[in-house]
Amino acid sequence: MVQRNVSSVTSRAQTVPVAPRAGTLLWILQRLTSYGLLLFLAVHLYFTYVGHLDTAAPLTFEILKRPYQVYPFIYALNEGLLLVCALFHGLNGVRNIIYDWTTHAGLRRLASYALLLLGLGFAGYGFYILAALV
Amino acid sequence: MSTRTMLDRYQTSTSYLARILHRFSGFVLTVYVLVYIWQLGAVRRGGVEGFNATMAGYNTPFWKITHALVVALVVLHALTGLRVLFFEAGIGLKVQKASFWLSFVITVIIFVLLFIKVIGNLAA
Repeated sequence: MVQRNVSSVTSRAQTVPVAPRAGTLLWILQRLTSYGLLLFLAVHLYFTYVGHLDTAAPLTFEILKRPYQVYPFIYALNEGLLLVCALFHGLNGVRNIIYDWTTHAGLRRLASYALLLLGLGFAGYGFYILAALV
Repeated sequence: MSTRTMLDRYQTSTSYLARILHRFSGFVLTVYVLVYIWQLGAVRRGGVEGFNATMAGYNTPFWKITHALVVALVVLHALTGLRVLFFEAGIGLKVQKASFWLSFVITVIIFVLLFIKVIGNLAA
């Protein structure tokens, strides 16, 4: 791990470990998933929330499945991409908060792997649910 | 940075408040997404009946208002996030305060409109 003396982001200059390439990739992916969320979440909210604002009836499985049948494949694609973008953007955002909170290499690594496992687990479960809807 | 210094900056800097709200809304929404996915999993754990029973449990005034609040948090996070993207591209650096308060006001208006709509449905 590269050590670099940093004085610009903290109140006191200090030597912190930096991994330039890994950080850059995650930064780019955080931006790309934000563009994805603007589109996929808008579509999702239209079909699951805004379109149901006129009714007080509870959500049922039949209602949930309707857009998958009206727009075959394309709606499932939207929901699949939304799942990936939301989980990555959210959990990487939590990672960013943790990286601002501590410069301890061990804690950072532990958080990274814990969040990666959490993300993979929920992505797997999410696609397992999605398979029941298409 | 000491807690005292952080509070001073919170009181004086609009951009710092924007950053705190962006992170807070992002964290809340991330937790919400995880719970949301888990609750949708009711269809795998309890079938169609299990899913419908779980969702009927959310058909209460408390959860309808909470969902309006979550949608408002999505709007706030999206607008403050767009601010960040524009500033990174060097656009709008002179309207940082105005763009935050505009984002905040739009969010409050959307929440109030959703709140009125949801309450109206409950009364009907």
